Amino acid sequence: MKHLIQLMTVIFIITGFFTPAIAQVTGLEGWTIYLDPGHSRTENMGVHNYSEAEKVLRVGLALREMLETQTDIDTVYMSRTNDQQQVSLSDRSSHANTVNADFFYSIHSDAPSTTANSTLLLYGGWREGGETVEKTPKGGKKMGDIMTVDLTAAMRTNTRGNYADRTFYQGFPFQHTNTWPYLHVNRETMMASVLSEAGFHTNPVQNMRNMNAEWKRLEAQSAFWSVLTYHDIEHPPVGIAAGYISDIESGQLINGATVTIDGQSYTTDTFESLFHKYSNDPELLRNGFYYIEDLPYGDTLDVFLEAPGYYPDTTKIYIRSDFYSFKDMTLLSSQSPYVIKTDPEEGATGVRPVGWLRITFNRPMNRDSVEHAISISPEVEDLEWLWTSDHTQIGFSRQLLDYLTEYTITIGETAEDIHGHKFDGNSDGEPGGEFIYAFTTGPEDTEPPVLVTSYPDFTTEEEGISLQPILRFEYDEEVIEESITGESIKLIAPDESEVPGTIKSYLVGERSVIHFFPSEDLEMGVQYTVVVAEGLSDRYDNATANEVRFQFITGTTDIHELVSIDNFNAGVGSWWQPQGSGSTVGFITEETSREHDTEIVNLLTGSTGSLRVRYGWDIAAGTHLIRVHSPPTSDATSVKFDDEYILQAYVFGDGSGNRLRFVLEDGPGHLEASQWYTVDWTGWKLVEWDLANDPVFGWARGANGVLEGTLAVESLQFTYTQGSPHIGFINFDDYRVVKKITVGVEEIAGSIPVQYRLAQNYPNPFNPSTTVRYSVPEQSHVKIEIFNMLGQRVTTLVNETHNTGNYEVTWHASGASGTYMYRIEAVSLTNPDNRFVDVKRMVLLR
Amino acid sequence: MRFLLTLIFISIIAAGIVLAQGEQVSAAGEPEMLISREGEFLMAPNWSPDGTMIAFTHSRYSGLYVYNIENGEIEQISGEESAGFGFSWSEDSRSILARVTTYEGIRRLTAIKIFDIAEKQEEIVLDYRTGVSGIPQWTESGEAVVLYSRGQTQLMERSGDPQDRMEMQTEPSHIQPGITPARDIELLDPFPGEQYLNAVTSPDKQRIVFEVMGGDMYVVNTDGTGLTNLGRGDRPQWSPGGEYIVYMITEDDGHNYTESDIYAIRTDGTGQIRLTDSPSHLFMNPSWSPDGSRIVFNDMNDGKIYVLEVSR
Repeated sequence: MKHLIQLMTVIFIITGFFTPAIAQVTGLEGWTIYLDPGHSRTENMGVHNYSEAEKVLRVGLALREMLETQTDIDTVYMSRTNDQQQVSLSDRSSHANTVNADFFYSIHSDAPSTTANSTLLLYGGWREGGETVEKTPKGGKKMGDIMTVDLTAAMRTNTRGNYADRTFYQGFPFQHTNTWPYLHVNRETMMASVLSEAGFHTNPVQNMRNMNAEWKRLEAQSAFWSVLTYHDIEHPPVGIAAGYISDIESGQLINGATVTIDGQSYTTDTFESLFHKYSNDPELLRNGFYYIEDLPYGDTLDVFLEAPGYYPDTTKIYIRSDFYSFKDMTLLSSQSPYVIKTDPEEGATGVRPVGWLRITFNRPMNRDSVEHAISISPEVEDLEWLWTSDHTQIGFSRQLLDYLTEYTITIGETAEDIHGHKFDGNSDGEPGGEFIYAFTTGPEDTEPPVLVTSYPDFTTEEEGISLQPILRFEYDEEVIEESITGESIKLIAPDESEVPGTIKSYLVGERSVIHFFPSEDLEMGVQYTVVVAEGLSDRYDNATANEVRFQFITGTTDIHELVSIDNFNAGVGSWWQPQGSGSTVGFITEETSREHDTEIVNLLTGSTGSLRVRYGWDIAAGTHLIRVHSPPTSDATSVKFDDEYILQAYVFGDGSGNRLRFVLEDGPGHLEASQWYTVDWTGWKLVEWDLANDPVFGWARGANGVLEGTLAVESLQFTYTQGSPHIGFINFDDYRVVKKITVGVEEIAGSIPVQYRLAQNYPNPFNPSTTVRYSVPEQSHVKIEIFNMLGQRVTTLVNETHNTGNYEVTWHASGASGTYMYRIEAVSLTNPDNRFVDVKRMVLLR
Repeated sequence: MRFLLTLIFISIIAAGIVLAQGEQVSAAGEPEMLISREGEFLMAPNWSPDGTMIAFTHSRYSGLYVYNIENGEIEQISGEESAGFGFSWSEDSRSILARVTTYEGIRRLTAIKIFDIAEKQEEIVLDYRTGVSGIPQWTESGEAVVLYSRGQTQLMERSGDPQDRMEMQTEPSHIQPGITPARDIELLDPFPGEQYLNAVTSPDKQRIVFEVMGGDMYVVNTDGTGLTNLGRGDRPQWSPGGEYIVYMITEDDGHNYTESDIYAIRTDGTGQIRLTDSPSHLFMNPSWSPDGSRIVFNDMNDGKIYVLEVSR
């Protein structure tokens, strides 16, 4: 090999440069490698609908072709060679072990971050006696060390490094409990092995690169060089030019740009050539990537660059022989500037004097020329035009506008961009024409904020309210923070004492929702009074003049067992980005993500973090589903429970009317779903799925609408409701399962009842406690209330579903001596016509 | 592995307890832990033909061990790499045939050995070399080993110089009379273009169960007829009477298993039954006891070997 390089050097000196031929690399005879493109079919869908499985297969096929055609390697085996095979992990290791390959290389890409884009190499290993130990046979670490350098340089990104797999997933203790590899492909393969993660397919930029055929050759080329280095073989010289072509002003990557070097041309991907496979939007996808191989190396070559709508350009590139010759290039648009967006929109009515008026151009503008060309009618006093720093947006404060006025803004054709291109006012693709834009402001706001809805409902006296409620008050407009004080919401107990708590307001869209988080549990079965004070004000000093006062009655059930699934305080690592699931469809990827939110949290539980799901629906799509998956290896899915529990989550709704549901995996592996919950509330609300009694809907993997065996969370899912806002967000906090009991109610022994019955209380008269027994012959909803002789309800003792049986409940009276009535109403769940009502007297003697 | 190697033997081995036709197998209780060793990951148990021992291996199929059913003692048979993958017992339960490997630099050297359990001796059938593929198998007499490797069938007798035995290769279907009876070796290729995995011959030597890589499990007669789809499953093994296939169905996320349980199915593709349902375990690599009463398998979570009583 050394002689070969020397010979090449001599020829280079003589000829200046030369064109490489496919070199026959020797030294791999008798050596075999097993290439394992991870996953199958279109699994692990990328953020723009190009999957990890599709990409890594093509990297593997390209690497096989390079090894077979350019070296004397004995055999290249592969675990799969097409997009149709569904290959299990056990098949992969069984096959590699049977063919007895020398090395096993598993090819993957990373998830679920939408912003990270690094490389990662994982060989089989663990910590033992304070040392990191590589599995035997060794070799995976060596290959990983080489690939970390080669792959990271090829992708021009950063790296997370090369790790023993168990240290990456379980840290660096002195001693791991399990002293064997963490990943299956390292654990069950009996040869040297390594797994690579080449960038994140959930990163939008990387996912668009992955679609490009030559990008996969770039990754394969780096792996090819790594294999040669692993054998201490210098790789043959190459002549590869690669890089990105972008718009010099916007930085946007250019579709359809053609690069020509030494007679070879390469045109970057376009919607027509490629991206139509993954999006209906002709403007959404772009990678600007070019890749030209087999160029003469050792010289500087001319580069000719052109693209529709851009001025052609030329530059030079030096073609090196030992690596890719990277050169990123820019082009200047030849198009006229035009307006791409206004806020408010053209023709908008009722525009409020809040925020900014904005006009956005497609490219940086010459400020002076625009300010000379722009006019507004009628004239606005003290108008001062403001620009964004990139000179693409002009605007002014809407507070300068008058009420109930139609405004027209005109930008004349003398406006120019910073390169002197004439303004295309009418957006016909040619310079010239005026841009004319009109909108109408609304009337002066003289009304104070109006309480629209609340929890508990302020229009009635609700019963059965939780002992740990979040009180929620939704207004029809923004209530300014300055008007909300510690006295704005009061929760008053029966003894007239105030329940301590925290008041917190959020602005959702243009409407405020105010919460009261009690800091102590409420008493069961008693009446509370809520007072919302006057003085809540909007931005125009319109304050509420009257207090709102209403009552509610707490229920008689309480939580007696609580198992946390995820409180989201430490992050949202148990949950994938929506784009990481192949089931996520009909969405706008830029508007869709799962994030960790430390601002909107459940103060009732002292939470410090919540899971926020941002969504953007593609209204034109036929199917809409966002799946935020929790993989089987996550902490959340490690929490097991059964259908004796109630699944609960605090959900901060956006009032959009879009829908969410919970999905569980049951014992047989079925994916079973709750009903869809319509998010018609704003702010925090406890959402529950009673696993034993609420309906179950089969979703996937043989689901049958029945929860069987051990359960674990699988995903949170969302769908679009026609006519609802298509962009919004929903937060989750304190995801958990609980068991409830009715406090004071006990099932008692006795024969199986054949009819409803309400027994006389005992003792009677009593002071201050007495017991009421009753019987239920079939599953029924039972309500027992106590009234004074004026017919006023004093309390509700029972308000819940009972199975067949005999029960008793004790009342601890706190009122005055006298006669009280107690009333039972029981309704059969299977036959609602079967209704039982009975009333009896009791006497309290103080 | 483009071709499926089948070894057809004439005699029918008398099985112990066999399942009568039409009877339904079922689990008789929960799996119980049978073998564990502190700090060690045990896997791939395989019952000896006489039912007195269970051979197993460690993570990465490193080493080979034998568990004595009667006294519970464990004996290391080999500490070599790869010894635990694809090993097979001799019919008399005296020996285990295995493929072992070592590395010379980055190159993998493979040998084929026979380990005599009782005598604690090892015999090299094929000495260490590169380029060995496939799984070695016993001939009927136990006097020779057959290896279909890289498109060629090799017959290796247990006498002679191991260094010379690679020269005894013959082309498929052209086994020389005198070395082994004619038609003892035959190649089947029921799905041209596909690759096959984990082929196992039935106790009566008349049928083969196998997997298609990336596809389903099948049973086929050794004459190529009677191809029957058994559905999805991995690493099949025969019941001693040949009526059932025991196997595993796994789920994975591309990096690790998320579920695995043991199933059985009749060889006509009917009567599938789930024998384990343990979400906290990853039960894999089943092997049916020769008397038909128990199935052993390992848990890929805790590295222990379990046994399940079965009834019919």
